[in-house]
Amino acid sequence: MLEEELCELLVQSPERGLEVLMNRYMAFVCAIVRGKLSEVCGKRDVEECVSDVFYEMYRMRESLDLTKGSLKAYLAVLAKRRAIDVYRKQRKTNNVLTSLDVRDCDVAPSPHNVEEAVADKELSLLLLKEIQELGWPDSQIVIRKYYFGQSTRTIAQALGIKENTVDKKKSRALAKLKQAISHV
Amino acid sequence: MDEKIIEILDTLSVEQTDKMLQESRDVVEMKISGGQRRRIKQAAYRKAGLKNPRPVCIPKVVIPLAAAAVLLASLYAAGLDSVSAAFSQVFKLLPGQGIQENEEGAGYMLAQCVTVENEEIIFTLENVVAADNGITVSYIIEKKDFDEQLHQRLVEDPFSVDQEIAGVFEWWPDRPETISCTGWGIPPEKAPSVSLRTEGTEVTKLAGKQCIYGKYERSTFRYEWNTEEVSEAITYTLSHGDYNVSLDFQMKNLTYGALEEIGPTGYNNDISITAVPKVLNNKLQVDLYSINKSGYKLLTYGDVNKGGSRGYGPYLETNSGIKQPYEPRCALEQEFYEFMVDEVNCRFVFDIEPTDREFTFKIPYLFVYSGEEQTVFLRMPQEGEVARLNQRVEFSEGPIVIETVETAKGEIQTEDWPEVVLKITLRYDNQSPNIIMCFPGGVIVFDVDDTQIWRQSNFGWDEGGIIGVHAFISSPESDEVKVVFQYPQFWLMDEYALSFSL
Repeated sequence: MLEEELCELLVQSPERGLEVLMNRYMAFVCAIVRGKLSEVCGKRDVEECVSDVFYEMYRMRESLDLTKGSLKAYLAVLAKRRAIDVYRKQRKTNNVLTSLDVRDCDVAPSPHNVEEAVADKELSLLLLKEIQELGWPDSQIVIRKYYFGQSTRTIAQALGIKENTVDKKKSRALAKLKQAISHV
Repeated sequence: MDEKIIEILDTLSVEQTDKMLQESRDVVEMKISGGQRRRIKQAAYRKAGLKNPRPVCIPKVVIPLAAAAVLLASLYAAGLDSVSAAFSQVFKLLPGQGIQENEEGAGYMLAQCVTVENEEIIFTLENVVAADNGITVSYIIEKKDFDEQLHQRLVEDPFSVDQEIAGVFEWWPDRPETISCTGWGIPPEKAPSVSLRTEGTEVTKLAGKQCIYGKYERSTFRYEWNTEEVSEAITYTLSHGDYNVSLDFQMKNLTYGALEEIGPTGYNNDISITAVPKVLNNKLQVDLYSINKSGYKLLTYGDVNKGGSRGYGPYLETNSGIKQPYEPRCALEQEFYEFMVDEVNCRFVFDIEPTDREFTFKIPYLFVYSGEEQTVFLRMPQEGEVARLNQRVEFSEGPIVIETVETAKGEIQTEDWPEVVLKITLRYDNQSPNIIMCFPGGVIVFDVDDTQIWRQSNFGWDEGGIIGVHAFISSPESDEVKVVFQYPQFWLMDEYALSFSL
């Protein structure tokens, strides 16, 4: 089923559409949510957050615009934002120390002015371009580490390389990215 | 610096996220259990105010004590936690068609097989299903006065019979009808005179199909009928005017509260398989129905006559030993039954001993495929060089690894069309011994310069999956080749053991 057909199904037959959407993308959404929440939440909180993401997607079903991005991208953004929300709430209640991998950030960026918004967008595009230019597997390591929040061991297993190689490549990639975005 | 990158990636727009995901060329997913999947789904439906899953409906079905004991034993053996975790609690069995889950509307099926006979035939009403504003009736006729010898000759050498009939060679002589099958839409001149009546009113016939094999004739007719008018209290009459015979039957509700009430059920990898056994003509007939929530498409149950077989398939354990199903699998007497069984909702038929009472139907593995697709871009090395990549192409159940890439001169070497042969070798890096991936030929597509390569060949096999591909490329302008891996196929090696007693 094409994404356009799935969007149509979500509108015409929400029950079936939601079923197909969850069957197809649940494992992906879980990966993003768990990456963000594994340090502060239990399994049930992660499940609750994932169900929220699909519910949000269901609510947005009539306004989805596939020219902006795929359903997977919509779900990824929703998953990120919802997980950050939950993380912030948990952190307040659990008083968990901030690790290097997690930090406070606005769920949706609300730049104070237009200049800042433009600068943020430029920075994002530049970072994506630089990550792309790292080539495989360095780009994959950066995305898995910093977008999906995966551990070095998980990345090493997924990409079939040694853990210390992952760390070395990550350090080198980080240095390159730092240099590239420091000018902005 | 880590924090800065996380912050940027956390706040990407939909468009930017899409770009990143496309370029990452890698699937990142988390393993989730059936229980987790079910809880997440239930929560999402609840929040959305949707009615799935529906509350439990307690059906009026009595399970014999012996069957209940077997059911409990199999539930216990399988582990209660894993059983039916991903499945709902309201099912509708449509015999010969499938099991529907959480479907709206009532459904009814034949309460009991009915057989009547006269001097000419034995008339058996085998199956009736009332659902979706229609009613489907299937019956079998066994002719008592039948020329077995003529039939045997038609099976073995139909052309000699043709010559006798026509006297001279003729393409389509009017053969005796001992072997024939129609699709839906029997020609009016061949349609049997069958009518269905309820409370004195004849029901409108919509379509029919018929299969004749030797002394047996099996016909199925669909009638226009509002299923709301169906009731367990009403008696229906099916009449066959050609043989002047009729029979009465009643219907029963076909909604069940659990798959196990329909028949012994096994669950693996979010695929349930339910067996509905019955003895017919001294043979054990096992109909299989699946509900598939795995995301895979079920191809076969491992039938040795189908693609994807590992050389062995389903079998039956009984008191008297192991029984293999009739050949071909999923069919009895070839043409006679083959048309009526679906690839997935399949029928297996076994010879059994009169003393056999306890049975376990075993399905050692399933053969499935997924709709996944992954694209990678490879640099073609210089002629004669071998690039050792070990590049992983990730799929949900594990990667396929591109081990080496090399190029060589092709056989065609004209000035305008110098051919280059790209050779890649592959390895399957299965993550679980119970899920074995393979790519059969034809699902790996190469593009160079946005043009699909028109010729490729495969070499080497590892458990059914190709491990090497030759792609023949004419005068490439680019040294980059796009390789698309589509529709990986898998053997799911978790066994189904469906126990029952008769």
